Amino acid sequence: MAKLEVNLSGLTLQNPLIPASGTFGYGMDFLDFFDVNEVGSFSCKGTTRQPRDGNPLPRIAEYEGGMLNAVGLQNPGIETVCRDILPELKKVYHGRIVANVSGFSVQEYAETAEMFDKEDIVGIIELNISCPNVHGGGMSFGTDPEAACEVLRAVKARCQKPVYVKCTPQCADLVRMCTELEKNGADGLVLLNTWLGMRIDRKGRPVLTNITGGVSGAGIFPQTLYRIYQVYPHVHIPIIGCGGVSCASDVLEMMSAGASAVEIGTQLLKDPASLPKILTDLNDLCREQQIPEIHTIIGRAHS
Amino acid sequence: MISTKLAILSNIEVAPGIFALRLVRPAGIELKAGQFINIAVPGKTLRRPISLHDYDENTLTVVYRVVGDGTKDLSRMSEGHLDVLLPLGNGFDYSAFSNEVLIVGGGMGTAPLYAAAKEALKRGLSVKMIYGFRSPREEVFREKLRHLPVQAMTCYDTEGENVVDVMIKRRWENIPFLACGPLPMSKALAAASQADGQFSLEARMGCGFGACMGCSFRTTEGMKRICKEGPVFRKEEILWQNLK
Repeated sequence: MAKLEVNLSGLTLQNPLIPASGTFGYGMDFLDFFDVNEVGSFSCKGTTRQPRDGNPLPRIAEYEGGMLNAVGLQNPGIETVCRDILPELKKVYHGRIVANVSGFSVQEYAETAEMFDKEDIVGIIELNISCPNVHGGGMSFGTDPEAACEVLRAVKARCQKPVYVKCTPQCADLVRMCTELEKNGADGLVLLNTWLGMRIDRKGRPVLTNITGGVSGAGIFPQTLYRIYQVYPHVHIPIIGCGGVSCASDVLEMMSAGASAVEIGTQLLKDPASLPKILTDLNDLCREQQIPEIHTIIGRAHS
Repeated sequence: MISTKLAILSNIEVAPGIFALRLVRPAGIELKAGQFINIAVPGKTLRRPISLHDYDENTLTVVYRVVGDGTKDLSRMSEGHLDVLLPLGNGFDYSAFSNEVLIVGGGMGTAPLYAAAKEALKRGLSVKMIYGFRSPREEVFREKLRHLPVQAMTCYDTEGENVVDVMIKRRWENIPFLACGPLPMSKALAAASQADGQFSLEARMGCGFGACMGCSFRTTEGMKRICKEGPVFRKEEILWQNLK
């Protein structure tokens, strides 16, 4: 068995696999398929200060390389999450989660993050300034480095736990965004959220009521990989790779580009039982490629 | 709910563009009328959620219309295995019926109602059915229904009559109902019936088991996922303006 442990800001994960936000709920929906304790960690559904209904139906579309979603941050709100959901989760999950925080104002981000920060089960705060499916919040912070850093500073001022920022590929200068975030106290980066896209139906009308949705799945893997490769030499904080990972070799590629861990999303919707298989394959690949400790390959594509 | 591979027994075109897919039923899985299965089509990311049309001890059948590439690919598979998640969602709630049930379906919405009628008969209910199709050539279940002791009416858009017209003409609007069909039919039925009823709804789904929130909509009782809390909903909890 290869040593699959990785470290994120002092938090040791038993393996680098993290189900991505929005594909794993609050960890309770996959219990029929595998033991949630097998994952390195998981990123919970994007959570806001107030409950949100999200966007009207239809919210889902498909393309040859994956899918589009325009869920629009439907969630029960941070108070319900802390009061009702996390205590239930603690009964089945013994690790630390990545708490995905979304919002529409600096204040809202800060308050939500602070409430997550007080929860033992939270290991990392994931600041989602990259949701493409809401208006006036989410991605509008993620495309402007000044706005992004303002949210980050406000959250950092109220949180003890490591704060990672989940960036959007829609950001014009991602390297600059990431270096600015590091300067302003980010403990890590999550690269990237979904790519903005749309589909049109046979009658010539947009499939999604929201018109646009976040593009995910295997079809976005190469371009996401390249962005991680681009950013890695410019920062000194860990990167969690996210975008189109669907098998064990994708995990090794993304870590080679510079990711310390990887989030897996659409693949788990496609095949909810695939996570244990990817983990087994990852062990096999490490053995075949003579990688005794997986963390040693982080960024190796640059050398 | 399990993720498993099921052997294809047959996949036959039963009407133009409409296929009945019969699979081996996995052991130890309880199935209910109104539930659905989520079928992985090789090469596609999203599974195809399809309602149970019929099932017995050893087999299960779903009926689907070819509407795009995914269902077209599915229709070409006549042997081998399919990767399936099942059973998904909640079935029809028969505790709501005391002695009779009206079953109303339109188009492909009639597919799950065959299982629903069989289940109702098994429970000793008297069953009346109204099926609506675009035209007689799309009427797929006539032969099968003939073998069930039900009072079945059929109408066709091409003849200018719909299921609600039939319900009113027959004076069946006070009979509690189960229904599945296109949104305009369902809305008209909800408005015209004086009785309690249940609708099986459909939506584009991401996962089919409640993880992605891709099929959630606001009901009178808050946000609900069509795949998880549904696909069967009581008439009074559905806010029709939130469905598309």
